[in-house]
Amino acid sequence: MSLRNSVNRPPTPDAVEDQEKEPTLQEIINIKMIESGEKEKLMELLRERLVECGWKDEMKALCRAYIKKKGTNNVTVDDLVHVITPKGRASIPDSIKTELLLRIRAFLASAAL
Amino acid sequence: MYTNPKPCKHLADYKLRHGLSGYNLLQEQIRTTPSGKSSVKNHQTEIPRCCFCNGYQKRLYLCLICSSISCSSHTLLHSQCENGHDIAVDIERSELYCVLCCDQVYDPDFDKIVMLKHLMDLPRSGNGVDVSAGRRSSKRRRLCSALELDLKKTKQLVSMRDLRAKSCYPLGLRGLNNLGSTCFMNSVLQALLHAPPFRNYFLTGQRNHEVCRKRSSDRLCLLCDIYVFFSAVFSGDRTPYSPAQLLYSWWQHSANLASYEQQDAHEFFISVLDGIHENGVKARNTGECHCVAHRVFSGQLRSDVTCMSCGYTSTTYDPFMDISLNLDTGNCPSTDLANKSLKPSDNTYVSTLLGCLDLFTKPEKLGSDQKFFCENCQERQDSVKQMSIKRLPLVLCLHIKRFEHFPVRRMSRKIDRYMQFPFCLDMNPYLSSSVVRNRFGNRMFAFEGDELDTSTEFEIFAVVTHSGTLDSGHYVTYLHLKDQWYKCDDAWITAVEEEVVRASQCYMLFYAQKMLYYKANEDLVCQPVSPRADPFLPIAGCC
Repeated sequence: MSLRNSVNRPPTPDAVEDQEKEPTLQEIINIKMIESGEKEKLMELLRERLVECGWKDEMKALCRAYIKKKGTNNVTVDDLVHVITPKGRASIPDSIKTELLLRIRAFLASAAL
Repeated sequence: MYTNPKPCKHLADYKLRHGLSGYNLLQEQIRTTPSGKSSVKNHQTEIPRCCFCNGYQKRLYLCLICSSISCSSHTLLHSQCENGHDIAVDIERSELYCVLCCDQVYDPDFDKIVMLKHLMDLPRSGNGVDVSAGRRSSKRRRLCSALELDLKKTKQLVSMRDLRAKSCYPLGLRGLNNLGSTCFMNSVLQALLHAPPFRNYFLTGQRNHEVCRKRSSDRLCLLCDIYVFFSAVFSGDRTPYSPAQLLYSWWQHSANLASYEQQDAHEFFISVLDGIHENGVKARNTGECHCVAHRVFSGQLRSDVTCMSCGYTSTTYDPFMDISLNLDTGNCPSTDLANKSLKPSDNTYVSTLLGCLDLFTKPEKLGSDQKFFCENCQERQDSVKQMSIKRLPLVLCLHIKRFEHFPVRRMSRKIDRYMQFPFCLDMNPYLSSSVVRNRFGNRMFAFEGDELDTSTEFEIFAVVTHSGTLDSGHYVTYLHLKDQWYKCDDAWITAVEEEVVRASQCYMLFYAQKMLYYKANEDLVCQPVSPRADPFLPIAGCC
């Protein structure tokens, strides 16, 4: 490599795209919730509600059915996550969504965001 | 069945090269919540983000070698950039993941390290987990005594065949006359007659009634009367028998239940076992009673109460002679009428025995009026209680609670709901080792010295059913002998198809450990069928 060429070389592009854009509102809320410990509390609450209403059992049954269909050795955790996630998201009871939304709103009000 | 799955070759490679060093470095960062969930948390409360896309919302994995974090979309990319960086940890769950297999992998060494950290974090060892190896010697002793009851002089059974036996029905099938609403007693007696180790004890002369001190002084002895009863039923005589002496003897013991009114079969069962215990060999100070009732039917329950604030768990053990189960109805406790139910309609939900057992071992949040005093927090806290079976008996009696009592309204009612039950039952998921293990995520760690040498498989041999109402009902027992089901309705015994049994309304289910059940069935000798005998005619009155 001669010195002449290096002088005219265009600037090296970044290997990794720097995504330090302005943080979105969602990100700010998320950070605040994690820092205050509220997120952990809400996660625990969500887990409790999903078990109570039988959602977890239903997801387990769906997983078992899928594994049975494909064969135990032909399924990975990633497969299951991909298959079950859309069904899981779709079957969350409205009451649980409402409850969590209210809690988040209350948090936002108290954190003066 | 918890056998450790073989590691994938990537995990095996990693272990060869790095041993436990990666796990040990990670240990410091693991935190476990009171509910048992372990996560990897850095000291800074920074949100973990994927080093490729800065995302934080997918599953995140921490590389065990260089600690860089990737989301599920970019783990493969990381492995391609850095050669050999194939094993990672799911940050939220503290579970191992192989990037190249795209799948969860298991390593008992890893789980041990996670659990050790959890133990170290708790102020005392009250977390419901006992890391020490189980006491194997006591288990082996129990198994040996079970075999003892079984193998001792089983040839004696053959010599008791009476020439009056005409058909090829197995020994020990004999109708019992109803002495005045005593079907509650007859039904339970039929089940006891065929509980393998119980039956063998009374038939092989281990109960030597000749030298019974009580009888020689003309007092009643329940054990002797049971011995006489067994001899009579297994004599080969097929005419219906009247267990009057036994009934009288039992009345003496349970004076409060002595009447000609219909009693509850389950109450009778408990009271008979209690009578046997009282009359039998006095327990030494070792704590384990050696009377035949305890040796056959007793097991141990474990109860864990966990503080929801700090995770401290208080564990107690209690003996049991039977387990009473509530019917599982599939109803969710959170009643929200506006909420669309996940099950199509409550009416189509079928109760099953496994469902009832699941309900029995489910973690139950204790009400706010039942706040548990936490030793660690030093105040009353909301807690969660969970039951499990520490030790299984040789014969498992499961009682379905069908009689509901409302003390406030002063009324009782019977629950007629049908419950499906299996003929073969594996109790493994309800053992303490399984239940406690499941509390801490997907771990390959051996808890409480897993009961690997005790069988958890049971076979059904008797079903006590109830039909009718609380006040006027009738008990009938179905016996499963040598692959054939028999209906025992007081004095009438008929062979029936298994569908009849499956469709019946069960009240008490009797299961024996598989090995004992098959051994016992071998001992039941049959005579060849005489040409006149019709297998579908009732035995009562066929002589």
